[in-house]
Amino acid sequence: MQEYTDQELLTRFRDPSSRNYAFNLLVNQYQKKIYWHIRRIVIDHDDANDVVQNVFIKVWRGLDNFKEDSRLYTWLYRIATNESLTFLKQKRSSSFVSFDDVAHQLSRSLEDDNYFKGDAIQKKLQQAILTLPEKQRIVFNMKYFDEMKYEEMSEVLETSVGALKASYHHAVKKIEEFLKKD
Amino acid sequence: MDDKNKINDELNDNLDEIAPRLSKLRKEEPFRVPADYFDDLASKILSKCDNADEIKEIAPLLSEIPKYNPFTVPGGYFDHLPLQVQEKCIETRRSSWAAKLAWLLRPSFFIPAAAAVIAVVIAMVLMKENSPLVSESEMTAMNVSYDSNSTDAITEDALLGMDDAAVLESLWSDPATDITGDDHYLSANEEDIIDYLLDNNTDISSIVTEL
Repeated sequence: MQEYTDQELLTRFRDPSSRNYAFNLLVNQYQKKIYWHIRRIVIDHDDANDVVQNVFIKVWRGLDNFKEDSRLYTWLYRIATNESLTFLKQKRSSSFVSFDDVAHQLSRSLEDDNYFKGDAIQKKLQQAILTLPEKQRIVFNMKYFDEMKYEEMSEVLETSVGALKASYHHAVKKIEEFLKKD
Repeated sequence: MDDKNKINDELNDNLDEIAPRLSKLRKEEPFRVPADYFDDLASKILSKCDNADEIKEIAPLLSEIPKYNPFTVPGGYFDHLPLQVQEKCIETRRSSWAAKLAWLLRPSFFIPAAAAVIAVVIAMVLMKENSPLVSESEMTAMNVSYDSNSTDAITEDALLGMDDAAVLESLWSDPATDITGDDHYLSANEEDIIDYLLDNNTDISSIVTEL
């Protein structure tokens, strides 16, 4: 599939005659990255599907006001991260459960998930990741799975590179401790 | 280097003979890479190496786990997602209009707004009914024209310049005018008056005193 630069996509989007087409190109170009980022946070496919659609609706509404101070890709990641965290917050408040309970729920949904094809060790790794605090979990996923640079993560999470490095280091250590158990 | 160029030239010459159509095609790279791919390729590789080294050092168990995405999606999910997103965008646009209309029609806004509009309309109707048929300025203009055009009009200047004796004479001469009442006294029968006074036992001296 052909990749388009931010400028190409934005120019087409700002032209009323190719607005819908440009948005379609944008969704096609970024849907997988954004979906997997969300899926690793909310775990369940149906939840991820709802969140990813909300993200792109927000993108559609906000793209006119996109200032180009950052790259489109980091802007999309930022919206996706915020939407995922909001989703988890709503889930917590609607079922009156604590952070630990949500982590347990997510861990259980991993067991029942038809769309999880990992072996036992992969399941254990995901369970270890779910024990991390939400923001540390996001930092770990972005660095470990998405292999993003700290500078990009800093743009997305609006946190200093130093803080992100420390957060990732702690996350890796906690996961290692979890894997050592049993 | 010269040998290499020589071989290339020979190959190109042969290509013209072996495949003339191919040799006429423009030689260009048909493949594309993501934007800025080569700009940060080196730093990405270095970052990966650093990350792998860090994990190996502080988390040997984690570093042994093969890194792959264990999650999956329903078949054809990403083929249909763009369409789903576009449908939802259209739906949201429609529902946002409906939401705006609903907001305007909500009882807490609509009832006071409607009451205010009705009150304003009623006030305007009442004001129109109670207002004079002619405006003050129109009335002033009418008075001025009456004063200046009417033959019966008596202006202040005319009254000031009129002789009192002439006025009285005019009134006496007008049979329709009855300002003194003397005629009635004169026309009344004196005998009838005397009879009336006697019948009512009126004291004549008191009448004289009164007069």
